[in-house]
Amino acid sequence: MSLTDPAFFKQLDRLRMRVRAARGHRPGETSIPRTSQAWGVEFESYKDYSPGDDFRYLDWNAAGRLDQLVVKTFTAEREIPFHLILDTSASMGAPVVDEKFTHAVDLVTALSYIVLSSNNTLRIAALSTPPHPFLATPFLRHRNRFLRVSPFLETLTPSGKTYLRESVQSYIRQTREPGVVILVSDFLTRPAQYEAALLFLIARGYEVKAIQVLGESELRPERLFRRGKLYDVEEQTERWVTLSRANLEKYHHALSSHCDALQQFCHRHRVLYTRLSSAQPITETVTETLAQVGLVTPH
Amino acid sequence: MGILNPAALPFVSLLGVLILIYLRQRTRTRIEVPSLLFWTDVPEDRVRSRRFRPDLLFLLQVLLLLLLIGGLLHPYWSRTVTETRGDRQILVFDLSASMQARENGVRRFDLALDQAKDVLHDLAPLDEVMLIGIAARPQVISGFTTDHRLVLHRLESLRPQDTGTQLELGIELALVQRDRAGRQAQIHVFTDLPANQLSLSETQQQVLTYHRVGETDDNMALASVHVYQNPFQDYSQAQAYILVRNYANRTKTATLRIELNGQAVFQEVFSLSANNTRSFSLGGFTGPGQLAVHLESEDALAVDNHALNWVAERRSTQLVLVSPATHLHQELQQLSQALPGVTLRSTRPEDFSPTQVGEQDVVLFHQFVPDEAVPANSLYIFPPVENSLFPVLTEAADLTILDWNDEHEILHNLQYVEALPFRQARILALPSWAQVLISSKTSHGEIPLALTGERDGHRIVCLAFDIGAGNLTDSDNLTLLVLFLNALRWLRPPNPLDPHLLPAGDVFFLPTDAPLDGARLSTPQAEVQVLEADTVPLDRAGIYRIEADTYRAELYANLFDEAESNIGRQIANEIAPSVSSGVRTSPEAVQREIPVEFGQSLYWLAAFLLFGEWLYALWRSPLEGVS
Repeated sequence: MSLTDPAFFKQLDRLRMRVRAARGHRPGETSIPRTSQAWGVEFESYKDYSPGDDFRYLDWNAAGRLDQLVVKTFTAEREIPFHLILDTSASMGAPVVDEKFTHAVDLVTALSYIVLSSNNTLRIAALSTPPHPFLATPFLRHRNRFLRVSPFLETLTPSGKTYLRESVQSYIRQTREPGVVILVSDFLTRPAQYEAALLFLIARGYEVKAIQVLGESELRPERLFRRGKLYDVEEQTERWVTLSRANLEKYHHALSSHCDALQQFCHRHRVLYTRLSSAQPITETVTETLAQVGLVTPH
Repeated sequence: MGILNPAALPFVSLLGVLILIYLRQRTRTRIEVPSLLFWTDVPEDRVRSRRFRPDLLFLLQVLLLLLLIGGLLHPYWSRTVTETRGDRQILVFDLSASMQARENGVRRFDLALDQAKDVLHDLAPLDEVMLIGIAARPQVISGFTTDHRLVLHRLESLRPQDTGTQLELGIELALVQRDRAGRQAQIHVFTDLPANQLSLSETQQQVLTYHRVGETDDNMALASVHVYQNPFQDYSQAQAYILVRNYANRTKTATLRIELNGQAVFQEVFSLSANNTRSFSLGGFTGPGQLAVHLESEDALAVDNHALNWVAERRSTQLVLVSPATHLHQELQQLSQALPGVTLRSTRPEDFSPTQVGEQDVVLFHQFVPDEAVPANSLYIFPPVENSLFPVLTEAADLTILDWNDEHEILHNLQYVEALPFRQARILALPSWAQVLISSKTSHGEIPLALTGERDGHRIVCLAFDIGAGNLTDSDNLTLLVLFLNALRWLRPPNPLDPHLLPAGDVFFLPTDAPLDGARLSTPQAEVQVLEADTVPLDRAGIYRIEADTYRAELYANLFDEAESNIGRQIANEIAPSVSSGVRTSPEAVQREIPVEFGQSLYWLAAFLLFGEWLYALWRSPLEGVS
């Protein structure tokens, strides 16, 4: 199954985004737990009548039994603004055999479909290199706007350096609608970069979810080479490396330290974090992995 | 172990090229990674460790290249093999005319053939045989082979020819083949010639097994048929001389019949005593044409009983005199009146043009050499100092004749050459195309007084001395007159329609300008062949005709060979022919080393390796993140 398979989209129809605290101002179809309102569909609780409450929601049966005026309250349902932010730096395209960027684009596409299917608003932003730090779609509502997603994503190619902090800040400053931010990146940048970006989002009241996409060659570099001249596609620097056992251990240690640091940071700041491999089929990623971590949930 | 083709060794340098390609590729190739963030803790390679280190693909390619070069080198390993081989026999077969002689109705050739078959039959299966046939020229009919049926087939396809034999040359050839083979070979000679008639050393004779056939001497032959007719005589003045010889040791009776163009003009029955000769002469022919002489005799050899000759028609020749002197014209006028068929035309040098003469004319240049080539045979007398043909070095006087080429046709039968009258002569540098006819000597060394040669397809005679007034017709200077007439006869172009008279066994060379395309040759056996070479070997007596688009020639081949006609060849102290002992040696088992080449196997190995390398590259390529 892939994104071209209608069966996959049927599976996506059964999923919705799981939101913890974010909410929008406009009424919608997403239930906001532990938040009640005076009208709605799903009954939540009673409260004592106070002047000004709508008489239509008075529970006369309860008033007869208790001899006290109570009104019904309902679970709040709001339209959640989602911001899918995709890292398009050159590191997302290297090495080519990993098809990391393709995997990330597919992931954004699938998430976009889920968001729009739930009648939430969606904006996709591709982080780029200053002086044009991002490219973004307008806010999209309703699932028929999904047709505008793929043409936008197809224009993107991985290039340039990673300016996670600057690009995120630049994007957030131009949008006034808080909501959920899903940041899809390889996070192969210094901790200061991603920490600043994530903290900025948290401080602005966004519910942040970080998805780290790594390639198979990053997880197992011995498949890529044994000895040779490594070339950093972003920094454009070279380094002659022989992949001995000791060196491989050092690499794995550095990689796991980096990923652990990111994970711990996210944990500390209540940011949902998950790490994906580009080798995993996208259908499996969305329906299983993301469901397991609680990013998506069945209706 | 060794190599058969060292010339392929330079291909080893391709290994260097391969290493260079790898080094270049390695320095240019880089592995793209998203970040060096995790590699900072990994120590970077030192310069030494960045050196070229072969990977599996490189090693496979080196091996592939080595295999291909190895295949080109044609490597071999030596293997010792044991071979069983038999004796070697060389059969030398005489195919000359005398082998056609009949012994009690059976040809000597057939008798010899039977003996040769017997020898072949007695051979062991592993014996190798070579067959050499000899007539006018020796020829290897079959190389060494154990296929005795093939040799038998070739032997049976042999035919005796109407020529003499060069048996000694054929035996020499057999001896050379015997020595070249590196193994002893027995030589069997089948001939009717006595062994002691051959000039072979005793050592050579000892290795021969001589199978001589023929005993009879019963033969009468035409020893020669000659028609004497100088160019100035017509057919009625021609005289035919026929010489008949009886080679038998008894008196024989025969009939001599002569036909002119198929019409009998002479017939006589005569008897000739043992080993005696008789000549016949015949003249007064009524016309030109083919003269066929037949000797009808009950003898053993028929091929020498027939001969052909030609009575030519006199053709008129125009003598063109180009001379500033008038006395020569008068003297030549007198001569031409005495020479039938010769007309004289005189012109002065300043009026002469090469277009005035034809191919059949003879031009006489006196004290003059034209600048342009003359399209006719020419006689130059006393050329001027400045001329384009004969470089004149200087002049000399009081010369005496030192030497002359009496083999040349011009000086044939000329006596008293020293009596040529001249006082002074021009010393000429001998042109490259000429040869000296008469020479003298001065302080410059030997100088030509008369020279001859061919230039641009035309004959040229040059006399370096002048013919004084009256000398040509003076009876005291008969030598000069004969020299002059001989020169005219030599210069007179032959009639292209007259047949060529050649001895059987000779080779006729076609003129260089004769076209070969589509030329056909008809032989005396009435076989018509396409002529593929510019030579015609005359193996049979009779008439050969060559016909091409613009060229025709008729060849009369006659057998006048006393060695062939004297079929008895009774010579005192004849060595008894050696007879094959009949003792056969058992097949010889020899060990020798033979090279076994395995270059082909290397090619196959290279092909498999290439396939393996392709699979490896296919497996590795999807993982490559190199750019």
